Amino acid sequence: MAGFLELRRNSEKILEELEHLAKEAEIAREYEHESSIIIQSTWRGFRVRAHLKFLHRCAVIIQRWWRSYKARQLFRKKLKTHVLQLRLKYYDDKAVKIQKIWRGYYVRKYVLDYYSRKRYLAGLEVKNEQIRIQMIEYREYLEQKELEQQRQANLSKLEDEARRTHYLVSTKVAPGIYNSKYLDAPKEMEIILRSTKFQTTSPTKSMKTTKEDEIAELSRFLPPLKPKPQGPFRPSEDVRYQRYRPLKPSLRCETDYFASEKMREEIKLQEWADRVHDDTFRAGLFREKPYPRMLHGEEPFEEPRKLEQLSLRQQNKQQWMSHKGFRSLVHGIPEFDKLEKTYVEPHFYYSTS
Amino acid sequence: MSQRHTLQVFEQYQKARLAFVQSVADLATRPQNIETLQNAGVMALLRPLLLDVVPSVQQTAALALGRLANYSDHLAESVVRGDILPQLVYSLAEQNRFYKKAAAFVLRAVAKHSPQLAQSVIDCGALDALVVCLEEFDPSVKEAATWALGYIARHNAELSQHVVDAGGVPLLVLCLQEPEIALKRVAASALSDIAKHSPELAQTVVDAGAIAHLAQMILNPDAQLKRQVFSALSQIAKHSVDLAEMVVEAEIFPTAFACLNDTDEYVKKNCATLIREIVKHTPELAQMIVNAGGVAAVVNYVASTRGNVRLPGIMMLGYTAAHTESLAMAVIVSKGINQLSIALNEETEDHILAATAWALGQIGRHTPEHAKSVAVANVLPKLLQLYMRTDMSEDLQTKAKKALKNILQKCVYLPVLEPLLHEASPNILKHVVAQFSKVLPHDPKARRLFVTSGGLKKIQEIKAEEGSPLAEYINTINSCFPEEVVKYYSPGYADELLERVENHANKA
Repeated sequence: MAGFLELRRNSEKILEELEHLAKEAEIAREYEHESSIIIQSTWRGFRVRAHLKFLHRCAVIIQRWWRSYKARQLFRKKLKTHVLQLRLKYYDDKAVKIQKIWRGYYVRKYVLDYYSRKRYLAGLEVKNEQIRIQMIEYREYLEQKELEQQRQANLSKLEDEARRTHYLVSTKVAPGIYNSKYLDAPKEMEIILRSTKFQTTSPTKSMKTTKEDEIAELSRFLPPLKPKPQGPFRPSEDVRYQRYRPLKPSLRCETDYFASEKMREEIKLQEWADRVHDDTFRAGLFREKPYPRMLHGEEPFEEPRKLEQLSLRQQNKQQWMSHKGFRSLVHGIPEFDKLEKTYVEPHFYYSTS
Repeated sequence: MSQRHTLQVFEQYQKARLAFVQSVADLATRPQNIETLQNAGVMALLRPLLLDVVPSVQQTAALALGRLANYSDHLAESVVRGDILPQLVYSLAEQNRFYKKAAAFVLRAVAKHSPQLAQSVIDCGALDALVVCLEEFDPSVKEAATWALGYIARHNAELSQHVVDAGGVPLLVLCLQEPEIALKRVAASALSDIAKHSPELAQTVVDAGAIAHLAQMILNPDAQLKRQVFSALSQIAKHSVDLAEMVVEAEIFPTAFACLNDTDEYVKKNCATLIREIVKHTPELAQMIVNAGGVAAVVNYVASTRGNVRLPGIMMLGYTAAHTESLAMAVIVSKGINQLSIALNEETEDHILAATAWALGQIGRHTPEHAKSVAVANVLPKLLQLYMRTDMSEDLQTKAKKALKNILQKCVYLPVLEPLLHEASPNILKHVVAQFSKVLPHDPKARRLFVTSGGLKKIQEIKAEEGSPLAEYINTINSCFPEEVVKYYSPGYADELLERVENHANKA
C-alpha cells in the first residue's frame, strides 16, 4: 500500500515525469520520422534517377542506331541524285557540243551559207546586168522603130507634096525652081518630083467638116429616098463575088473514093514492114486452118423419101447468094454539092475577109 | 400629082427632124452650148425623137443625148428623171447596130458620173441588154457595150457584182480575143474595173480565163492596150497571194520587165504597179521577181522616171526589202539605194518622199550591214531634214521618223552617226547616242576618234533628265573614258578651274 501511497503522493510528479517523457518521446519520434523520410527520399531519388539514367542510355542507343540508319538512307539517296545530276550535266554538255556543231553545220548549209549567198549575190548582179542590157536594147529598138515611123511619115508627106506640086518639075526647055541653072546640082525636091508620078488633082472635095462626114455615114443607112433602078438586078458586088468565088468542093468530093481501101492497104504494108518475122507466134496447139467442110456436107441430111432422091442431097443454093446489092461506083455530082450554098450573103463574105 | 405632093410633105418633115437632131448633136459637142440647150428644153424634145420611125433620127437623137449626159452629172440625172433609159434599153435589143452603139453610148455617159446613176442604169435592166450586145457581130457595138459595162463596174463592188451576175465576164474575155485593138483595149479596161473591187470579183475574172489572154498582149505594139492590160493584171494580182501566183504563172516575167522601159509613161507606171502588187504578197513571190532580175529593171525604171510615175517603183523596192534581209540585200546589190536617195533629193511631193523614206527604212532595218549601206548613201541627214520640216504633211514626218529610227537602231557605222549628233532633235538623238553607247565600250579606236572629232564634247553638252534612257546612254559613254577627260570636255570646266585657282590663292 505504501507504494500506492507513495505513488499517490508522487502522482503529480510521476505525471509530470510521464508528461515530460511523452513529450520527449514525441520529439524524438518526430525527429526520427523526419530523418527516415529524408533517408527514404534520398534512397528513392537515387533509385529513380538511376533508372532514368538507364532509360536515357537505352534511348540514346536506340536513337543513335535509328538516326544513323536514317542518315545512311538519306545519304544514299542524296548520293544517287547527285550522281544523276553529274551524269546529266555531263551528257548535256556533250549534247550541247553536238548540237552546236550540228546547228552550225545546218545553218551554214541550208539557212545562211555565206559563200553561197555571196555567189548568189554575184549571180544576181550578173543577171541584173543582163536585164539592164536587155532593157537598153529594147529601148533602142523602140526608139529606132519610132524614128523609122517618123521617117516614113515624113517621106510620104514629101511624096504627097511632090505629087501635088508636080508642075514644078523642070523640063528640058525650062528648068524648074528646084533646078536652077545657078545651082551645081538639082535640089533634092527636084529628084523626088522626077521620081513621082504625075497625078491629076482629085475632084475638089467640098468643104465638108468631119461632122458632116459623120452624118453622111449615118445617112448611108437611111431608108433610101430614091427608088432603086428598075429591073431585077443584083448589086454588082454580088455578081462579081459569085463569079470569082473560089471552088469549095464538099469534103466527099475532095477525098478519094477508094481512100479507105488504099488506107487499109497501106496499113497492111506498114504492119508487114514493122513485123519482126512473118510467122505469127501462137502459144500451144494450133490448128493451121479450120476444118474445111465440103459443100456437099453442109446441108442437113434428110431421109430420102423417093427413090430418085436416094443418091442426091438437096442443094440449098440460096445460101450462096447475097441479098445485098452490088456497090455502085458512081461519083457524086459536084453541082449538087454546091447546090445548098450557091448564094452567100455578100456582107458576110466581105466582113470575114 | 397630088400623091407626090403628099409624099413631099412627109419627106420635108423627115428631113427637118433629121436636121434638128443632127444640129443638136453637133451643138452638144461644145461645152458652152450645153446650158443654152438645156434651158431650151432639149431633153423633152429629144425624148420623143428616140421613138422616131426613122432609124437615123433615133440614132442621132441618142447620140445627142449621150453627149449631153456625158457633159455633167446634172444632165445625166435629168436623163434618168426623164425616163429615157427604159426606152433606150428596150430598143437596145430591137434596133440595128448603129442605134445600139448610140444607145450604149448614152448608157455609158449616164453611168459614168456616180454610183447612184449607174445603179439607176442597172435598174432599167440595161445590163442584160448590154451583155446581149457583147454577143453582137459588129465590133463597134461590142466596144460601146464593153465601155458602158466598164463604166458601170468602175464605181463599187456591188455594181461590179451586178455586171458579173449578168454574165458579162466571159463575154468580155471573148472580146479580148477579137482582132480589133480598140475593143481589146476597152475590154481589158472593163475587166480591170471589175477585178479591182474585191478578191471574189477578181477570182471570177480569173476563172473566166482572162489572165492567159491578157498575158499574151503584154508586148503588143499598141501603148494604150498595154496600159490597160497591165492595169488589169495588177488589179487582179493585188488582192491575194493565190491570185498573184496565178498572174505569175502566166509567165509574163521577165518579158514584162521590158515594158518598164517603154516609151509610154502610163505603160511603165502600170507595169511597175503590177510588179509591186505581186511582190508585196510573200517573200517567195518577191524572190521570184528578184531572181528574174526584176529589181534591176525597177531600179532602172526609178532612175528614168520622175514624179508620180516613179512611185510604184519606189514602193516595189520597199516591199521587196521589207520581206527578208536577203531580199533587202538583193535590193542593195542592185544599186537600189542610190536611186532612192536620188529620188529623195529630187522629188518635192509629200507622198513620194514619204514612200521613199519608208522604202529606205525597210531596206536599212535588217542588219548593221544593211544600215551601213543605207547610211553611206548619205540619206540620214536628208531624212532628218524631212522629219524636222514643219511645212510637210504629218504622214511624211512619221514615215521619216520611223525610217530614221529603224536605220539608226541597226547602224554601227560611227562616221555617219557623228554629224547627226550635232543636228538631231532629242527624240532622234536618243537613238544616235544609244548606238554610240553600244559601240564605244568595245572599240578603242572609235573612242579615240570620238574624242578628237568633238563627239564627246557634244555628249557632255546634252542635257538629259535623270533616269531617262538618254541619261543612261550618256553615262555608259562617259564610263568608257577617264574621268579627267570627261571633266575636261564638260561645259563649265574652265570656270571651275579658275575658281580652284582663286581658292588656292586664298589658302596661301
